[in-house]
Formats: sequence, structure tokens, C-alpha cells
Amino acid sequence: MLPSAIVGAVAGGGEISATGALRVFIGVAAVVALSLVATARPFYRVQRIPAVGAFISGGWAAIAVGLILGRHVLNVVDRDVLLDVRPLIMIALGWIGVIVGMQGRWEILRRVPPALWRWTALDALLSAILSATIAAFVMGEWLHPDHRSLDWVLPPVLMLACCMIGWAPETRSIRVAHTPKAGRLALLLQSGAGLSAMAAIVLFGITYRLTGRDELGRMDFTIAENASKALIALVVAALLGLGGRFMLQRADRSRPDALTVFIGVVAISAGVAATLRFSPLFGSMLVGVVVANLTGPRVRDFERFIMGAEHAVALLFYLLAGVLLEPAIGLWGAILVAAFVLIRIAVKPFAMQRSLAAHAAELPARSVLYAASIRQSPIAIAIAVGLILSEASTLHRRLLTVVVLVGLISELLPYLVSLRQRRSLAAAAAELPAMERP
Amino acid sequence: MSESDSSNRLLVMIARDEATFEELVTGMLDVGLEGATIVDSKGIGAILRRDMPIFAGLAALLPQHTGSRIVFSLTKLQRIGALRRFIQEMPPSRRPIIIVLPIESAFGPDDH
Repeated sequence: MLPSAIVGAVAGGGEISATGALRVFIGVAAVVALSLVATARPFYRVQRIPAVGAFISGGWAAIAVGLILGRHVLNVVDRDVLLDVRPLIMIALGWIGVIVGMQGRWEILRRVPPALWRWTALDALLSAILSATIAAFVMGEWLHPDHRSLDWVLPPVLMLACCMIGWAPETRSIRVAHTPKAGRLALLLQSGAGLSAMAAIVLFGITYRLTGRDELGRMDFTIAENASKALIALVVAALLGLGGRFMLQRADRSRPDALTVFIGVVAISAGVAATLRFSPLFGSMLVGVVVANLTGPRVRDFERFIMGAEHAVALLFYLLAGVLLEPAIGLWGAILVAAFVLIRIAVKPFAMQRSLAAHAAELPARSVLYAASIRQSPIAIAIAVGLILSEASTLHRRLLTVVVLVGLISELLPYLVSLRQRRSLAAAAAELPAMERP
Repeated sequence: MSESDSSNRLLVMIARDEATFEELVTGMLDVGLEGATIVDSKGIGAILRRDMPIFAGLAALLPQHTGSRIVFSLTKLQRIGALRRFIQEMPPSRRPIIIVLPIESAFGPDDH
């Protein structure tokens, strides 16, 4: 998608100066270098370093490159041209939706312990209500006086609430102890993050429908219409899932054929979702759930293949988010960032410890992992970009910046705690006589 | 080292997925290789994905099985030669990785 945007930007600009050509060259070189680095074997080794792991899994490196390529630094990639390749971005969102949906296999869902359902529900409820309340107050002040009605306030408020649901699944970068109890807690964190991502996408599916407006700028939304279109989306997802399985069997073990089938299925599901005014994330997640629950000789192979591309798709998506950012968020944006970070610090560990209290004997008494749920889920960035696709306004771009900043700050806090614990352990080990050291 | 050599070798075979493993078992039985120990395994790619999930963490609840298996067998060189011919007829993408090692000594339940 990026090369198309770059070409489009250059073509749209007519004659380009030597400086412009150099910028394009730097931009392309940066994208190529990032792609090569991200897929190189030594990169996996570097990611084993906890600080790098945290940096990469949050997508911060790719977002930073996107920001540098974007309007505010090198101005290599024109974000308006980028939005002209909307169908491609929708396919990328659809890919993420399928990855999340594929977790909805019955075999997996029936293994989810009751405590994890409780934790996910409590977290989603508390996070969404608190963040929506604060966001509604801030939007009331931040938006232009003409737009301070429910029609304009509700979609961004609900989008921000979706972004606050859940937490990041990666635990390796902050895990200090490698005991069985810590392993159990890490597993719960990881699986709860997946469950929360599904909840966030469902809520965003509804939010996305609220962005449709009539000629007077009012929300064009009725419950009956919403329900009927949701039903159509479900039927289409089932048909696409079944059709996809049939075509996968025809593709046998050919990776290129399987990839073609996959891209076709995602493109159709994203297109149907757009037509029905649902988020491509939501429509494709439904397809992912259907495919995951089908049986067939190639389905599991296909699943592994799709999941294997998770890091590459995420990387490109983070890059896109970086390009779309609008850094000038002003005082109200900064207030939102601070409030959301505080909500995460106050609510997430509370919901976690309260929900898991019944399993205290199986979990570590103290662990930095209890702070891990503070970290924002990567799906939040996909959701924020999804809102920009529905309406590419400056406000939505600023909200993307808010989401990125909340993610960055919330990532740092647990990492710093784990760093302190690692240093304390290292100091304690150094003080032991040589014979007593482990 | 010729196929007429009747001494034992340790045969290690890595089948990357279920389909490869199925064909491999057929081939083993065809060449008369009936004794083997099979261990479920996973590649480093699966480990790396499990360590750093981005969007999909829920799959961690499933037993981590990728379909990859390692087969250990103590067998004669003649049978290894026959198995090699069977594997060469398989499509390259489905062929298992095979390692043959000389054995200095082996002890087991049949020793008296």
C-alpha cells in the first residue's frame, strides 16, 4: 500500500524537485529497510532482549518510521493519497480481523476458565464506562460548538472506549520470574488479551455504524436496521467461510493459491462490511470465527499460515498509523491521554486481581505481571485507524495520536517496574557468597 | 559406508506437519522399519510466535501442537537406503528432514 501511495503522491504533484526526489528515495529506502529488518532472522534474536521486545511488540518503531515518512517530518507519504488506497487498507484491517476471529474456535473457547470470562467482562465494563464518561466530558469541550451534539460526540467517545478494552498479550519483555505460577499468570494474561480484542472489535462494529450520517449531519442509525444488517453480515461470513474452505481444499498445499484464496475472502468480507457500514475488522472477524470452527484437511495448515503473518501485517499497519497521526492534540488531547493512562493504572490491575482472587493459590503472590494489564492492546491502534477510514477528519487523526500516546506511556510503566525488579534481583544475587549463588 | 553394512544406525527424522508424518509412517512400514519412537515437536517459528503474540493471545489456551514430530529409530543401513528411495519419490515440499548417525554402542531391554 505504501509504494502505491508514494507513487500517487509523486504523480499528483507533477514536477518534483531534487529535494522531493531525495525525500521519496529516503522514504522508499526506510520502508524497504524496515521490511527487511523485520523479516530477518537476526531481528528475532534482537527481540529476545526485553526492552527491544517491548518496543517492537507495541509497534513503536514502525509508528515512529511512519511519523517520519508522514506530513510532519519528511512529507514523503501524503496521508490523503494514502486514504485513496482505502480498499487496500481495509484488506489489511480485514487480515487483522481474521487473525482475531480465528481465536474464536469452539475448542479454544470451551477451555477459557470462568475466572478469565469474569476478568474480561469486568475489565471491559469498567474501562469502557470510565473512559467513555471522561471522553464525553472532554469532547464536549474539545469539539467545535456546532458539533457538540450526541450525533458527533458519540462515535469518537465509543471508539475511545473500545480502545481502552483489554491489554497487550505480550508478556516476555516484562516477565522476571520463570516459575510455573508466573507461567500460569502469563498464560491468563495472553489469553485474556485475545478475548478482550474480540470484545473490543464487536463494540467497534456497532460504533462504526454510528458514523453514518444523513444530509443534516445527524446519525443515521436505527436498531432494526442495525440488527438486520448484522444478520446479513453473519450470513455472508458463514458463506465466505464455507466457500473459503472449499477453495482451500482445491488449493491443496500450494501457498500462493492459499494466499490468493485468503486475500479474496478478506477482500470480499471487508467490501461487504463497508457496504453494510460495518467495520472491516468486525466483518472479517466473523469470517475468522467461521473458518476457525470448520474442519478440513487444510484448515489448520491455513490457520498457521495466516497467524504466521501476524507480525508482518502488524508492522505495516503500525507504519500506516504513524503516517496518519496528527501530533497537534492540544490541551484537551493531553488531558485525555493523562486521564486514560490513570484509568489504566487504577482499573486494570484492580479488575485482574479481583477476578483472579479465587485462583490465588495457583498464581504468584507478587509479580510484575500483575501490572502487565496496564499496557494497551495493539488492537486499539487498528480500531483508531478504522475510525479514520470511516471519516478522515482531523479530530479522528488526533484521537489516533491520543491512542498511540496512551499505548506508549502504558507500555513504559510495567517495563520500568520489571527493570527495577531485575536490577534488585541482580544486586541480591551479587551479594550472595559465590557458593550460594544459583 | 555401503548398504551391505549390517550394523545399526540411529535414524532421526523430522516431519514438519501431519501430512508429511502420515506419508513417512507409510514409507517406514513399506521398508519394514517397524520400531520407532515418536516425539511431538515444534519449530522455532512456533516458539517465536508464542512468545510475542500481537493480536491473538487466546490460542495460547490450546495445547501447543503444530503437527511437527521427530521419529527416532535404531535400524540397519539397508532399511535406511530403502526409506531414502521412498522419500525421494515424495514431493520436495513434503519430504522430512533425515539425519543418520553412527552408533558406538546401544543398550536396552533385549540385553542379557
